Amino acid sequence: MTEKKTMATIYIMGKAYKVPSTLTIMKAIEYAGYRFIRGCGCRGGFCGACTTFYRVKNDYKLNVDLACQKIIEDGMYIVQLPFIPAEKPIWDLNKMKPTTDEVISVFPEITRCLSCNVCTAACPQDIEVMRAIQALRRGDLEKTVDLTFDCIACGACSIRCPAEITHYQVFQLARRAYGKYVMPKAKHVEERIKEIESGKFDEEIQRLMETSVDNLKGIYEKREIEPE
Amino acid sequence: MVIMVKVLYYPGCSLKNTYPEFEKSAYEVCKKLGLELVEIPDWNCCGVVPSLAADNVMRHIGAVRSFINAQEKGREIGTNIVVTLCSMCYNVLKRVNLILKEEPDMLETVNAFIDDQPDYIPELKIVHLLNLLKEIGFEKLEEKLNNPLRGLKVAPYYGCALLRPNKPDGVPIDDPENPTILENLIKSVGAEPVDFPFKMECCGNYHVVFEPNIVEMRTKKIIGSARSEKADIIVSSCPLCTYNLERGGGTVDRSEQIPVVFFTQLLALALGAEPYLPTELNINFKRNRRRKV
Amino acid sequence: MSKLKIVRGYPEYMRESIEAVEKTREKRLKETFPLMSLEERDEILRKFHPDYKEEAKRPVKVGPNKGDLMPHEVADLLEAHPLIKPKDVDLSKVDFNVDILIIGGGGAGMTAALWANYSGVDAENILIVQKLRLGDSNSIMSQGGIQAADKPNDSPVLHYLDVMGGGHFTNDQKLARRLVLDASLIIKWHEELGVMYDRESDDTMVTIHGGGTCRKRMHSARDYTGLEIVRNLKDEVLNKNIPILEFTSAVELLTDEHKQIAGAVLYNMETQEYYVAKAKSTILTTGGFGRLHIQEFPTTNHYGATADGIVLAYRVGAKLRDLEAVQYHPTGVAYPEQIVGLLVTEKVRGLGAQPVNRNGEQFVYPREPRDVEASAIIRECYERNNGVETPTGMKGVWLDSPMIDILHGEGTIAKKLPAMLRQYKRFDIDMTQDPILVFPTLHFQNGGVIINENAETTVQGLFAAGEITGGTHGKNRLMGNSILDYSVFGRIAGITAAKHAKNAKIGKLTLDHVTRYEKMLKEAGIETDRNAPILLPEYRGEKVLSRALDIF
Repeated sequence: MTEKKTMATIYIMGKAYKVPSTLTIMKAIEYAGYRFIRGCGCRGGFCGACTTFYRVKNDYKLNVDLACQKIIEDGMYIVQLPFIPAEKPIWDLNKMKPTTDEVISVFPEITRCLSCNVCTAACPQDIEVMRAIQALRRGDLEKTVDLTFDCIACGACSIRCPAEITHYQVFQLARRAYGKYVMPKAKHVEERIKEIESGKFDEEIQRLMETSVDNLKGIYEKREIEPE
Repeated sequence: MVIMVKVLYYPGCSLKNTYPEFEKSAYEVCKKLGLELVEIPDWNCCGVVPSLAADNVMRHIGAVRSFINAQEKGREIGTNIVVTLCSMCYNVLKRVNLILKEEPDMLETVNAFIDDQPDYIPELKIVHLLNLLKEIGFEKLEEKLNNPLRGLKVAPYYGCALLRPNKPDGVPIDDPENPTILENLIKSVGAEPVDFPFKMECCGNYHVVFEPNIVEMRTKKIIGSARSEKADIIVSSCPLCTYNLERGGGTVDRSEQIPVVFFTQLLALALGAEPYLPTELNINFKRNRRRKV
Repeated sequence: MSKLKIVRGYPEYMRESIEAVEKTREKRLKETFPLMSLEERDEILRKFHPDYKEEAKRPVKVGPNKGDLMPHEVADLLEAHPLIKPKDVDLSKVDFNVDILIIGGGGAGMTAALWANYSGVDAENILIVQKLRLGDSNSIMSQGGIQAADKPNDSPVLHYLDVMGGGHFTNDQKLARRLVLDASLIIKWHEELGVMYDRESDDTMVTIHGGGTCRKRMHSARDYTGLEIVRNLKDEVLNKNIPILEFTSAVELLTDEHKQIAGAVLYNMETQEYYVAKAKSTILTTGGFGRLHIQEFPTTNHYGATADGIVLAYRVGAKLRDLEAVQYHPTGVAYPEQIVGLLVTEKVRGLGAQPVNRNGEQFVYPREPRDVEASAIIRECYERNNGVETPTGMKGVWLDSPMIDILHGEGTIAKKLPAMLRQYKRFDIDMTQDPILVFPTLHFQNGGVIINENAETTVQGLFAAGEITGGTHGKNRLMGNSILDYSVFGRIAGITAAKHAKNAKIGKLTLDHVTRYEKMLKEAGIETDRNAPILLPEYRGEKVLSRALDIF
């Protein structure tokens, strides 16, 4: 059972193109004849390369979404934002403390946050961006980390922010500091490394490497599977 | 058995990051006095940095969002009182609340802009902890003293934000021309308030960032005045004043320095609770004198 | 023209099948479909796995692997003309002169760069060349996790067994050994970088099963493991000030008169300018080949997965292996049409969701190794005709995702699979309430450039790591071993390349191998207008392409 294709008109940077109506913005732009060099990455919603701004017919509201995931609408006006102008500040994680103070000192513009919430409205990942920034002001590093784990650094929030904060860079620092210093180091991993370095498993693996394929298959089939 | 009275509490950014001792000592004091400080969930920065420049209410969105969360929490715990510690947060929150009460157009604009939260109905009461303590009654403090700070000479530094701008039912926590609330507090813990003419003079505030010489000039005068009145310590209610006074713009001679503590730390000490004082400052009261280590 | 009625994301007619799935769910919660024996595995592969289709491959006519079978799409690239002619490039003007040239800035490339730096190579003597943005790669898209045998009830020996069994015992044993022995130190290094692996309430790593594993040793960071690791690597590479050229491809390697690799000719994709990069060690970390759409399968891969590195390596005489072993991930999205081919992570099955046919019946053990699982789904749809057909004619089976919250508590999917939940919600499908439709999708290049335990290829001065390499996984990779692969061998490549660069002496730069290759093509009787590497896939609308003029 196949549907016949209905067409829609979209405006790519103001130019009208007729494309099949079920396409995502990304595929529609390609259908229209554009070949992506910028503005296309994983094509699966993970990498933030295809941030796209658009308006729909008869609506003043400015919207943001990922081109690879958003289906077009008839009359859509679109433009892409393949790059956010922001130098990444250099930091040495080994010389930093996992505190909100530390993060704010690297990004003092955080203190300009007006709580206007435009960032949250722009986020294609449903992250509560303003809340995450304010959590830093509240001294709550863990909350910032928890709220922003799904951030794909698309930059939509940053380009809209009146205080000119680059949220995705702020959150990356917060998460790295948290992951490195606050999350506990797994002792069992350290112990296993010591065992491996002492050569504990060398002999057994060597035996497996030297045995016949049939023997190996037998050992493999007989191995016990850990239950759920 | 003390029945805890609940009030909403707005901490402000400085108390969570740079000066946690102000908040911690306040919790200790309030606990002793039967007050439960309920922190407003998801409060936002009051916006003091951007808001100092303009009276455009859009720059106070942070404060209003905090009011909305306070309003909701307040209904849950049965209060409309929001208490603050930081003078500057107090000043901003008080003034924003006032504007919204007096100018319905502003209120409507702000509520329309914040379209992701319920509307704010200006029924909250913003108070400073000093006012709350006065209402509870300073004599109650006297009753609970564990460690009266006899012989300690304390200079009450008000700064600006607790007293200005003047307006009926507005910012001033006491008579803006000659406030005595801190002095009364100091007396009630057994110490001796020092009257010095610079108690309400501005420390220089954010000029410390770009014009530190202004702060140096002003704090020198303030500390010099307190010193000439033989003050042992200065109490303040403002993280920024404290920062400026402690550093004196970075150039005050260390030997001329007088320790600056938050008023809640003094209270905590007197009530026998943990004052969160820095280790090098050791105020010994049994021997009625100050000993600096 | 009839319009389909959509009910909560699905066409009405598919709801009938969903109801069948709901009916059998309670019974199935207590049932485990039996595992296949090794013989059953072999049989199902031979009959249904796309790799075994004779018409889909041919022996390649030129080069070090002449006569070896490869998918047509790969052979087409090897039997193609180089992009540049030696006369078009002035090799006397060298634009970059470095110790280490890294071609491909994904997980493997960034790991190699960092470890070369830790090994004593100054940042300014390293150069990363990246076709898209730094970090854009298949590494970003791994959703499941990374295997490492670091729990007390596990050991690298068991991990080794799993790797060999999954690879049908065709793996390079030394590479497999290296993979499992270095796993724990990679996890530790990631911890130090700040990677937020999921922990239990104490410091213990959360680990689950993957396909073909005998112990729960898959570490993850929610369902963004790949992204979480890559963004940490990317941040660290930037902090170290390692030079990067973005939107720049390597279009041909350079050799010198001693037949060792001497660097590469680079091409700025935006300005069309070429650069000559001279290097003492060259590392290929260009990833996979999903965008070649082998046998017209959709793919999980990122935009740039076009096997560029294979072509580059082959032209300088590097040997390859197992290129006909293509991994089709058993569960790619089959509906909705807009996201067909994207990955539905094995973790979904790891958390308990069962594959079921249109009648709500189980037909395979949920976690056979990938090639076996994929074959079972293909058999179910095309021989037994028990699949569900989508409005666009695609067939698929259900993955009963609502089982996850039932087994582990409400909110499990929201907590452990937030990316997937969000992806389906965009198309009005709630995977906590309804099953999702899946079908195999082109996922991973099992084979590739041959390397030894030191990440050295068969050509002097050329190293490789990650998906571009072959041998580690044999003919089939297990879930969680690809992140491990690029980390372990990316690290080794960085260290080995650094050591090599200390003593390497590069002679006169040449493109003689290009001339030799053209001669080889001629002698083999290959007449074609194909060029390789293709750099990016062609997705422009056919209508437009048929009327496009290359005049400006």
